[in-house]
Amino acid sequence: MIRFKNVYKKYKLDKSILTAVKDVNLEVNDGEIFGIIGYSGAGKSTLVRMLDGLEAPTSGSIEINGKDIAKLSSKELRSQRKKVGMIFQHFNLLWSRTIQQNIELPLEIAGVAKEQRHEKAEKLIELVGLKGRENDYPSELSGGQKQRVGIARALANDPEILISDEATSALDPQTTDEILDLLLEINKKLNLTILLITHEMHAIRKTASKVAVMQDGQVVESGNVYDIFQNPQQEITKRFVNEDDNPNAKDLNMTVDEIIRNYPNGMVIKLTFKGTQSQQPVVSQMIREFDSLELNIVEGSIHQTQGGSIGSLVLQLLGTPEDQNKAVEYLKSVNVEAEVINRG
Amino acid sequence: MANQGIQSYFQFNNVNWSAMRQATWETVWMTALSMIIVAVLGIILGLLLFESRNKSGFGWKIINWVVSFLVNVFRSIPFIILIVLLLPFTKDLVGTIIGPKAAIPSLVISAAPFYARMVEANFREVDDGVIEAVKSMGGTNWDVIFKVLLPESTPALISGATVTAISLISYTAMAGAIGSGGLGYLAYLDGFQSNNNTVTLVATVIILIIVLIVQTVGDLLVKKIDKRTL
Ligand SMILES: Nc1ncnc2c1ncn2[C@@H]1O[C@H](COP(=O)(O)OP(=O)(O)OP(=O)(O)O)[C@@H](O)[C@H]1O
Ligand SMILES: [Mg+2]
Repeated sequence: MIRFKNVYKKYKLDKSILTAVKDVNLEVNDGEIFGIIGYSGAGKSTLVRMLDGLEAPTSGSIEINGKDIAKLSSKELRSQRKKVGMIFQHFNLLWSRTIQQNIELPLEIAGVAKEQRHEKAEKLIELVGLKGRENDYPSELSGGQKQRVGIARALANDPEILISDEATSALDPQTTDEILDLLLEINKKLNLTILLITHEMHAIRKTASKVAVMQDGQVVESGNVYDIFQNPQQEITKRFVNEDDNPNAKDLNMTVDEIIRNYPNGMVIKLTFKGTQSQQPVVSQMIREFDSLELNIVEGSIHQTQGGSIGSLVLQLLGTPEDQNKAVEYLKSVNVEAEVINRG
Repeated sequence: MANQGIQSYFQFNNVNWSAMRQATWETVWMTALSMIIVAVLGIILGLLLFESRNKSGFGWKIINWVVSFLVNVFRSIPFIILIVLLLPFTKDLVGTIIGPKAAIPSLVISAAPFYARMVEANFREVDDGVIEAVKSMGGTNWDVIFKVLLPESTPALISGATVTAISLISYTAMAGAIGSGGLGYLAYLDGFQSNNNTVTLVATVIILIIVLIVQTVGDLLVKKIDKRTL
């Protein structure tokens, strides 16, 4: 269990004081993947660096299993750090060491005997799918493979917590998904708590069960990923959800504009389906219900989250204004969320 | 030797080859021995400069100030003046002010600060992220030094040492002016003062060959060790 209580971090700059983390309160349960999302400079790295004792909070406390990190002696802190593995955006591997030697580094630091180090490293290399590459150097690997080494290295001391600070931000979408899958697999296999820092909602949706949204050092919204996806409250959260929902938001806007030009009397709505709703023929029933109703399908998509699937459909309703309004009412009555984007 | 034309460079029977061999050997070991001491001292001083930089403790500030001051002062004194300046110190330390042994203190004192600055710069080139990674594993400062700083900067340390060794070779030649022995001394005494241009030329060629060997060996080592790009 990780607990942030009223955590502040202030940096003294030349003339001013910068508050990088402002009154953060969070609880992370054992074994869960907890996402922290925010744009650059939001204070995400500062927050997790404090969790690893690399920075001390200006005020407030950070506890891991009831132990206040800031109150540990430097020796206790070093042994605590062995229980927290970290992976980084730029991998931070030693280029002078082979893959195997990189993975053995935390074990060397922990004073593990040579044979056990080899054994452990071999297992980890297998786990992250790099068998056969143990004697290569980091410069011979692709970004995704380097991150696999980073993950293996972070797991070497059997940590209880894994912190992933933008671990996929330097990778392409396909490789990102592979690394996220690996993190999920590790979470299930080792029952490890994972703190996933990112600025991509996609990564959160794919892996995390809970999420905290950070802006200007504060957590502005937090909760279950599924809930937040369905019902984002803050402007910034909506933006993140939309970015993920709709990587082609620009295209969509253009299409909507064009469709409205062609059918000025229609109404453009966005439907959101949750869970099993997405498997029911709601839309075809709606068309049958109202005689004059016709529709244009603009865009549709479905997303899997750890809490179930969420679908979205953008439609233009045509027909008498009365039927259009009734159709929206109908959707609400069957618990499909319908947001009017544009009224003709 | 009245013969002062171009052909004066090629009177090879005027060369005392055994003296030449002796002088070559002296140059080689003066350079090698002082380079070893310079490497050790330079790495220690460079490490002190690196570690004390940007640290807030009072002790660290003093260390940084003292080491920087010494390094800057001794790096700025021209070698030929330094060697004269250090004569009394040399006499106390090695018991003599002539011969190859007597050249070592001034060689070390002039080259170590030079190398220390290079070492500091090399350590600063090491990726902060990697240092942070080792700290996040529970590593001590010693772990950072021995598992990150030194191994990650080894190629740079070697190429810096190559450059330093080559300037040491030219310093040994200058030290010849005050009787340190070696090829510089031979070129000065048997070549210049005895008007024997062939000796000067041969000494020059040998020095060039030594420099070339040092450079080649250094480059090969760096190439072998550097795994950054393959
Ligand atoms: N050591 C420091 N000294 C001064 N300011 C700092 C320091 N570390 C971080 N900051 C500031 O704190 C704020 C938060 O930085 P932080 O690195 O935590 O952001 P982030 O959310 O991780 O951003 P990114 O997505 O770019 O990694 C930034 O404005 C940054 O400039
Ligand atoms: Mg960051």
